Amino acid sequence: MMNRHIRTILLVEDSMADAEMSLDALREANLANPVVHLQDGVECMDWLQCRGDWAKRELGNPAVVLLDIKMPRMDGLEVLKRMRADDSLRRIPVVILSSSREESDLARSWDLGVNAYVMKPVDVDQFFNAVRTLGQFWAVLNQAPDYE
Amino acid sequence: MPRWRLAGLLFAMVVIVALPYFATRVMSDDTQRVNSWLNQTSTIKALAYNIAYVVRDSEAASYRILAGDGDNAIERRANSAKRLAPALLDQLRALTRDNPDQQARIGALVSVVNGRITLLDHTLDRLHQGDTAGARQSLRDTSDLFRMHALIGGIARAADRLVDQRRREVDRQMERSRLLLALIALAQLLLLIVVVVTSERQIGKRQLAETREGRAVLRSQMIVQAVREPIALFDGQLRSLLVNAAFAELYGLDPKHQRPLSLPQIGNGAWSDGALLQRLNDVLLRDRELWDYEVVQHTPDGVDRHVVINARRIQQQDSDAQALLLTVSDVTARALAELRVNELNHQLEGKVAQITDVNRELEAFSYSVSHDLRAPLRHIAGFARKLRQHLGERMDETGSHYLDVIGSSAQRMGQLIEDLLVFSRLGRGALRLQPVDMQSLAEEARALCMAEAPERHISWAIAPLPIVVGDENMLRTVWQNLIGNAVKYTSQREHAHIAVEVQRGRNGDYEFSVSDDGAGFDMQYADKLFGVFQRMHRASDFPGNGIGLANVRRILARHGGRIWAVAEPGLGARFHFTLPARDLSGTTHERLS
Repeated sequence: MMNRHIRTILLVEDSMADAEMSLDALREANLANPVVHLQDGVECMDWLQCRGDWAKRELGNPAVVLLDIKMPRMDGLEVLKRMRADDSLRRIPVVILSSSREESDLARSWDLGVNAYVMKPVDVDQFFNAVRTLGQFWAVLNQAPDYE
Repeated sequence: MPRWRLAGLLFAMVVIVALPYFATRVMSDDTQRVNSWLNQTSTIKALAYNIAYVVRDSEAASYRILAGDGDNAIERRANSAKRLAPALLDQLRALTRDNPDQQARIGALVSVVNGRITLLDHTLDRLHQGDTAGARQSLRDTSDLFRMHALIGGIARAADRLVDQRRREVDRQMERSRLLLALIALAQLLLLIVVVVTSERQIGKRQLAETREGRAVLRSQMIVQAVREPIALFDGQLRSLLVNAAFAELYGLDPKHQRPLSLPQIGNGAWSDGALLQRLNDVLLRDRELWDYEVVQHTPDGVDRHVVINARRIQQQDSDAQALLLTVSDVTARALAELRVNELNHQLEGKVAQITDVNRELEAFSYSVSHDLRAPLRHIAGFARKLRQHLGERMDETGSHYLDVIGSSAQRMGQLIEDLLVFSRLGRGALRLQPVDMQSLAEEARALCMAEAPERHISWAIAPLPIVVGDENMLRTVWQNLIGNAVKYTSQREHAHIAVEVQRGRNGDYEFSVSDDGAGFDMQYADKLFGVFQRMHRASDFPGNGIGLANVRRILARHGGRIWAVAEPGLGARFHFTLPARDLSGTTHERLS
């Protein structure tokens, strides 16, 4: 286990307030994994494909992508669709973390092959619990295939 | 003409021709027979006299010889009787073979003649011997011993008698034949009368039929003329044979002067449409029926008329030529109405599109509400929490209270938004109709409430409930709200009673009711009962948002039902709701009175 790479957790969220709360919650989870916050779908794809600002980042796919739906430039569903269409990215676990509980958003996410869909609870304790649990589950408990 | 009548006529002809032929034939046969009989009788008489003459001639010759006057010629005459008589007698016998009386007489004649010839021989022998006296005696003996005259006369008379007798028979037969002829003539006359009468009657019948047919034709022509639908008949070159009054009126023809007109000339070119003329020619040439052909014609009265044309080929009445029967229905009014309906439909479609747009906007709005309004709420609560953590020990009691209020208010607002979204979704989503067991839904709602409040003492009386057609999830919400309310508003009673009942209305509707003996409410405010976020009680007494009954009313309205309540403060409330009878296709059964 020692030589095992510690994978990054990607948080893709345009709302700085939500992002701050989510980062707090992940910090409370006491995870070893580094957390990277990106503000929209375009940044997310750049990071995943090591382009632009992230052309020189350390190689490797994240442990999980926590993805908001409603974002400027490229929304979360589009990111999910592109990841599932890309052979090197399609196995990365994706969790949609959204305020929307609209049936259409749920249906599209699952059709595109999301791994989990979590609605951001309005209640603050529930919110912190949810994000903390997600971090612990996907970064620690879940097993994803190694890099090719 | 029926076959039996032909056979009868043929038979009559045969009878008329054949009977006289046979009758005449019989009569001529009779005449012939009489003639042959007369001939025979004459022959018999002639033979008899001839025999007498031959014998007497020989005897006369013998006297001449006796008188010494003999020569060779006389000698030959004296011997002629002996030479000729037997043959003549044989002839006579042959002729009377069919008559025994005559045969007897002829037998007697033969012996007399033979006797006389024998005595003649004696006479001649004695003469040759020179015995003149002996010869004279022998000659005298001849006429004394063998009398011939009476016999000859008897034969002649018998022959005459026979002829008379036969002639009388023939006369009788002729009489009968004449009678037969008369009868035949009478029969011919009768037959002819029958034939004449029969054919007269036939002719009469035919004339009657022709008269009737003529009247029928006249009547049908009158009908054609009287019909309000334009009807016309055209020949193979599309020239009018007959147009009725309605046709003439529609196309501005003079009904009095009906000269044959070519169809394209009729109605100022109303019929000059090439495609239509092609179709009509097809009807005439190929017997293709033209069926409800709709076309717009500009008629002479200056109106664009929508007409429906039907045409078919028929046989002309008095010849083999084909004719075109054309009917025209003026459907202008209907076409205009259709136009109007289409226009209205178009407008309606526009309205529907607008409504769809509004709905889409509403959907976008609620999406935005669900997403955009929740985020700041979450932030308010989240950062209040962070503030509490940040201040830590530096936070005093008042500050803590403020942060509590901020947090709980944010939470409450989140709940209200959530409720509003549910309410709006109930109005927008499609009804998924299926058979729904109301009994199990009511029992489920009761079980849910009792699980949340296990310490309560409630007497339940749930009547057997029917299966209805509706959206199961929505009806579940109805029961959970009504039963939940009943449980909630009886919470201050130690022992509560809740009853669920149903009855069926005259038109098949179900009317359900949920009654309790809880807090009730003042009927004065009953109109607010089903409004959004409207409450009858303080949240501190009975918690709630005031959205439940609004949802229930919306659900029932979407099912075609309604809800109302009767209550009295402190005594309880009874909620009634109806669901119309409907089948799975979603159509409600409206009973027509």
